[in-house]
Amino acid sequence: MATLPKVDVLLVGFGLVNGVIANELSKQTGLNIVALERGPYRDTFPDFLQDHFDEWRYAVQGELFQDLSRNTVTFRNERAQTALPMRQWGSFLPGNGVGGAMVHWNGASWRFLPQHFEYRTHLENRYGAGFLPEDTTIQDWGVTWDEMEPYFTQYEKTFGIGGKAGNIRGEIQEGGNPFEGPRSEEYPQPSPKKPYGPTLFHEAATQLGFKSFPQPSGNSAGSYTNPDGMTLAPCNYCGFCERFGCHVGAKASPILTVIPSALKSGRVQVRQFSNAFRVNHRNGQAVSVSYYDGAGREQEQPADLIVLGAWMLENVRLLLLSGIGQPYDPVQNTGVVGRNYTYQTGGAGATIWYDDKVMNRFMGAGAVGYAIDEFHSDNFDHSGLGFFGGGNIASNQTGARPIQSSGPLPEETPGWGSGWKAGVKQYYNRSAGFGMQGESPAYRQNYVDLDPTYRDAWGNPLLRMTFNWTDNERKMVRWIADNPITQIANAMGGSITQIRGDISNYSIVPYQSTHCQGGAVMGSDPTTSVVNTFLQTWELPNLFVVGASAFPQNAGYNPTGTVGALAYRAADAIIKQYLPNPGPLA
Amino acid sequence: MVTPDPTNERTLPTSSPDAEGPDAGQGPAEPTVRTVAFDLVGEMGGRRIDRRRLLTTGAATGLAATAATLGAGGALAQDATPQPGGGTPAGGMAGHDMAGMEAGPATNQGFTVFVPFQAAIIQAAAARLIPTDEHGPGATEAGVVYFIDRQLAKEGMGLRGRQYEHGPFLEGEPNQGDQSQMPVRDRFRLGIFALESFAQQTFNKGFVACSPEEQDKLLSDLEQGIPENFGGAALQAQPLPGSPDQTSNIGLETDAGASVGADAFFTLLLNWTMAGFFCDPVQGGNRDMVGWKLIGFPGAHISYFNEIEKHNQPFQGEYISLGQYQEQVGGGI
Ligand SMILES: Cc1cc2nc3c(=O)[nH]c(=O)nc-3n(C[C@H](O)[C@H](O)[C@H](O)COP(=O)(O)OP(=O)(O)OC[C@H]3O[C@@H](n4cnc5c(N)ncnc54)[C@H](O)[C@@H]3O)c2cc1C
Repeated sequence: MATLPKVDVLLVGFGLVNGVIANELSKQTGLNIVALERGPYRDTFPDFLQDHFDEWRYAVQGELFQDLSRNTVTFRNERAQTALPMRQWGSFLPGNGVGGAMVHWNGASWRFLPQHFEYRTHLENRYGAGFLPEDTTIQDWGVTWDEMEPYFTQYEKTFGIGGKAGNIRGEIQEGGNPFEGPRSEEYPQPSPKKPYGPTLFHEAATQLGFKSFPQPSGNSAGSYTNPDGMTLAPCNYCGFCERFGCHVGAKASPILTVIPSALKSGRVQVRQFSNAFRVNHRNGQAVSVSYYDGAGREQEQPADLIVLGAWMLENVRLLLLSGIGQPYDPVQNTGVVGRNYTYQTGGAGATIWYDDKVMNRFMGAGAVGYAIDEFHSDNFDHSGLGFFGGGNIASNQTGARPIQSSGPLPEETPGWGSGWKAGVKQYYNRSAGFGMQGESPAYRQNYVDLDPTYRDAWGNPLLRMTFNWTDNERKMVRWIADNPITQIANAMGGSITQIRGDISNYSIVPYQSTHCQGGAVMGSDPTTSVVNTFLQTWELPNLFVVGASAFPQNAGYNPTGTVGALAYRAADAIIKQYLPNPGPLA
Repeated sequence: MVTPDPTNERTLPTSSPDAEGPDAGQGPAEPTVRTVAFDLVGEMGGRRIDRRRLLTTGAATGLAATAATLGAGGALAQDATPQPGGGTPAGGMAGHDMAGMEAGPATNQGFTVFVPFQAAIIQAAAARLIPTDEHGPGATEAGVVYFIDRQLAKEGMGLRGRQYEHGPFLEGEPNQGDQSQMPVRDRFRLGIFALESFAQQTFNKGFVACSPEEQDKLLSDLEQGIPENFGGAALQAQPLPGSPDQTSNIGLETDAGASVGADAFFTLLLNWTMAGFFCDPVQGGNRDMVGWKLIGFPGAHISYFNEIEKHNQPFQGEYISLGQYQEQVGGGI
């Protein structure tokens, strides 16, 4: 093992979070920065421009995803079961390589709602202390909307997000989301073009009196130059978006924005194929990170300041492998690392088939469509409903590649043979759909820890996930399906309509979303959080842990807008508060 | 052995594409495979062949007959004895799939993993899953069997790309995903032989010699998990060294763990047949883009910028494969 010369700042993982941190530090300080990234560097040219139209390679075989032969998670619904490894990709698809998962994300880019940041307080104030289920461990974030707003704005400008504001400094804007928190300014770009299916959703929802608004999007509507001088090209709506890198440089991602900007400084070095496995610490300070280099050899990189931005699962696993923070114990309800693991509650949605309409479903991009927010969070009265929470309801046309999306087909269509052929020929291109992304509250029994049996390619324990839905989410999904989803689906016309509204046990098998949160949550109380509100660990002041790992629970939106804002907030705190005066910030 | 997850990747909404979630058992099953193989090779060509003679000449006989089925032509194809139910002995396709043969290249491009005998069974089964019919070409013309063969040749690829392969390999709940150590290649190997012996047991002839109706019956049974001992390897599964719990359910009491389940094999075959029908031709299937032409998926279009807001107007562009696209953007290679 070699111990390398010390650097000023060491970043673990080089995706969104550490791209933001590297860019801000490289612009505002003269520090030398090294980023360890387990995957390779790929870029628009030549990689994605020349190759991305290969559904089998990218979408099914997962060219851009974490290498499961080296590292995965184990999973069970509850503690009484034996957790088993996720051997094939399913529920979520983490990234692997410079730029992280945003290289192959969809681009739905949200700001969480103001009440989300003070969720327990909000719900208890409105409904009383006994309203929440006893086993829920949802909590306030320790920051407010007003504190977060400037960082949301900075994230959206840097990544060229397009949309229509619904609330500018308290004034409700026609055409936007009236439920969003007050923004300081309009979105930096207009929202991208709209395919037919989502437009039918928009018309139906509007006709029912809902405020349908354009999906905020990281699929660039036009040519865009961000404040760092980095450019995005207009989206081509090629339909190869989620699970693929963008062939024209139009999907907001760190490889088009913060990373090339940071590299321009000449003070940022990226080490590809470097797998971090431990943060070494002594006397209340993090001193170095141990990693396996591309040849599999152990290296130790000392640094003054260390930031983990290795995405939720690896952030938490690295803390546990390093013995930093007290591991969560669900029986005693003590400890913090691994606590409040949450996901995204799907399962409520509709598909509508038309005999008289053609959708061109193969066109599209990850986030081109419309959404409504009337049934999200506490935007509707929950008195007497028997559950709390809700979700955003949206219709996007992401591109129906035929291996994975020759369907959905009407229920009565046979699964194979001539009957299937007739069905797929008739209906592949004639369906529209929409669904809810539901909130995922935190519960005492849902958590992550180290697996006692299964190990990664180097012999370190895998992360073990213990997670299931509860009756609260089951009722929420049923109610949303029976009410707004059924209403809108019926208003969309069509020859055949199918509503989904049942969730039983969480399954790791089908893809649902790469929205994994918690385990190293933020807060103002060290007994219920791992990091303070600047994402600095309570235990080691020179170690920051940034990402959705910090979410105390998940909202009914995709997480990345809020992850980006938290990264900017952490960068700001490091530069303005920590560096002048290294020590605890709270 | 684990029951396949009921979720079907082709029935989910675009925004959350699912993937296949079936399972097969674990453990090597070589001896059984060999036994089954001899039985079914004995039926090759629909003629009773003396077992002992087969042992010396079987390989050559089987190969030639199968090559004929796959379109290589040659004397054997013409010699083949017609079977009840239509088609030449080693393949239903020469009969009912003839129409489709015109739609696609019929040459045998050679196999890298399958032997032609196995390939013929896959080809015949795929031709029932996606038949050649009044809606156009099917799995045969798409070259699905070549797609599967090429994919099985890739090192380190599992059901969906690279996968975690450390033990212990325990039987779990369906919602914990496939837990078998068995490589996809062996699942096909066992599944093909098991399908063949199931055909022998049921109709007293090999799968390719069965009529389309008989083949459909066999495949429907598989889909429903029939027969229960499908691929039922006679091997006794062993507790794996290092297993934390020696009494756990790794198949000690039954031999199911060493088999590939009927429904699991069916799901695998269906998913890979669909993939071979709809993939970009660069992956070895979807020849002439026949899969795409069935549903109107135009392929590798660099841009729909000017089209996406033409609502309810069918797209009129051409079908473009990745290879054709790369000719345009690849800088002369
Ligand atoms: C298919 C898909 C679709 C998505 N769609 C959306 C969407 O529409 N909207 C939305 O808001 N979000 C979406 N997301 C989520 C979004 O991509 C993530 O929220 C975002 O990338 C998180 O940023 P991050 O920096 O925390 O992690 P990442 O961007 O994943 O970066 C982490 C990096 O760390 C590296 N790394 C991990 N472990 C180690 C280690 N031990 N050593 C060294 N390096 C390591 C990884 O290789 C990776 O490059 C999607 C994700 C996926 C996969």
